[in-house]
Amino acid sequence: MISETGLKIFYWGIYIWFIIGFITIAGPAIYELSKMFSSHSSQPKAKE
Amino acid sequence: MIKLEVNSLIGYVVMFGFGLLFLLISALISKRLPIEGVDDFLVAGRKVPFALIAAAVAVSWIWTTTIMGAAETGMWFGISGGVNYAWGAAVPFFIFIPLAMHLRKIMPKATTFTEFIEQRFGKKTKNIFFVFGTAVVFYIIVEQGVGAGIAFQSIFGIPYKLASFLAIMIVTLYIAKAGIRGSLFNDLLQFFIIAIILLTVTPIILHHFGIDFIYNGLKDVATNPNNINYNPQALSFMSTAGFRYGIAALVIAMGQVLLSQGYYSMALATVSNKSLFYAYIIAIFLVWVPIPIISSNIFGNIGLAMGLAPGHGIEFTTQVSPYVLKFVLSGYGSIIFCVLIFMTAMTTGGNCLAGVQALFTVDLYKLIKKTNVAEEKDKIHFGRIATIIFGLLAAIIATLLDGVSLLRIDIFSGILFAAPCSAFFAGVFWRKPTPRLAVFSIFLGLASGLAAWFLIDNQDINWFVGNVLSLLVPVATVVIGSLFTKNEFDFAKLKEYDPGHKVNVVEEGK
Repeated sequence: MISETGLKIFYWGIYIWFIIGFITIAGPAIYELSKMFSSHSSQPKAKE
Repeated sequence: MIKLEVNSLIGYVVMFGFGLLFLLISALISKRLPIEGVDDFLVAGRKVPFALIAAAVAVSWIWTTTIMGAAETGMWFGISGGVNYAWGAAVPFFIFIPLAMHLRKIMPKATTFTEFIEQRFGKKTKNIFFVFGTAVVFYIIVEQGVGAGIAFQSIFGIPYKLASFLAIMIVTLYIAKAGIRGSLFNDLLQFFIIAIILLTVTPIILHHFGIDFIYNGLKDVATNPNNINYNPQALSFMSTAGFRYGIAALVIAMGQVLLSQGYYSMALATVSNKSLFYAYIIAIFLVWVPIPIISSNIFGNIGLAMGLAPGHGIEFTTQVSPYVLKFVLSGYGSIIFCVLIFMTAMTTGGNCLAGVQALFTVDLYKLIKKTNVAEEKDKIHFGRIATIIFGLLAAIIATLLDGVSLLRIDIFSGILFAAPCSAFFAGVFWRKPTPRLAVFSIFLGLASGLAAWFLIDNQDINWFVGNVLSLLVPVATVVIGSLFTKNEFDFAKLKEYDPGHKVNVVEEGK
């Protein structure tokens, strides 16, 4: 049977795990998105 | 018993507000990044960067059951519930990743996994896989519609039929409009919404109850035989029942991953094999795996600690997640829960529909029109119409399933969809398996799984044995059968495959 401290580490550890995952995707995603739209808006229109 | 319902007007605002937003994003994407051909429509020109794919993969695998079902496992199995749910449903991706990477390498111009099956095993076997691929998507979309319908009905009092129908039709329309790009950009927005909700409510709920209360509540469940939820393994990670559930989750998820074209479309849309690898690993291992564990902890475990059980605060264990959110955050909790469920249904449905749209545009077009040579815009038009009809059918079926146990359907689906996985996997990596052996292994797996389901009297194990047999009997059949064949399939010819439309293939390393 897990101890109270063990349960606390488990609950908060999983939460921190999720934060790391979120940042790993969110950071590059925002960068890619801004890059994609800024490069697209700076391009002249190819065809009407 | 806590009343979950809040003003139905808010429910309509949530559904129509987000629905409109997703359609607007699709329209904007179509305008800013116009579709230039079939390849662009189905796999976004094969140049999507890692982060967009990672966000899309993560949210696509977050089903309504990842929140509500995982919460239930936290009630059934204690602290091991979420862990077993997570590893069981994550393992199939560790089969999928090498499979998709290898497929990209040996058949660079393929768009659908059924194109590979046709070249590897012939037209008849392709048609069998096409039926499985379409059926698994149909089932997943219907299930998401049912989940959204239940959530909107129980929280906002919106009629179930209307809610489930609208949820499916909204996602169908935005996928038909913008193809996989519409799915990817909406997925990214939904990724942020889902993550921000979970990142916010988790500390609020844990702080509200306190670890001390949760631990003592779980300890009572584990040690007090008079506790209504008495389970001696509630505070143990080594729960045998929980582990068995993990194995069943693995088998059920195997077909849902390996036969769902949506995951192949995303894998092919990725700019390189390296990006594919990191996108899928990070999406599943770093983002997805903690989510069912968090749901199990903050909803299921707390439900146990609060002494909730069917007839004691809730009517059935599926209600534990909305109950806990409402208990802590009152009406706002119900709204947050509904937004969360709506997002999960949209993302999963969107990914699946983008996948089935690829099957229709490439394979069904060829099958019905008896030709592969056509204007690309004709193929796209055909794919769009077929997808809308498919979505409409799924929406109608979902409206008819009010009150049907999703868990039972889910478990039964494992038997149906696990059977073809072995033949497919072996066919990608091994020269030996023949078309006849592939088909034989599928039907033998199905027959043994269904026989176990119907012939074993004990309802506690028939589903488990049925699922395991459906996956493992084809493995044994393919391996043993291949040892006795002289077949030597020439994989080199797949490199020359012509799909009948322009494909933007970037050679790895260049």
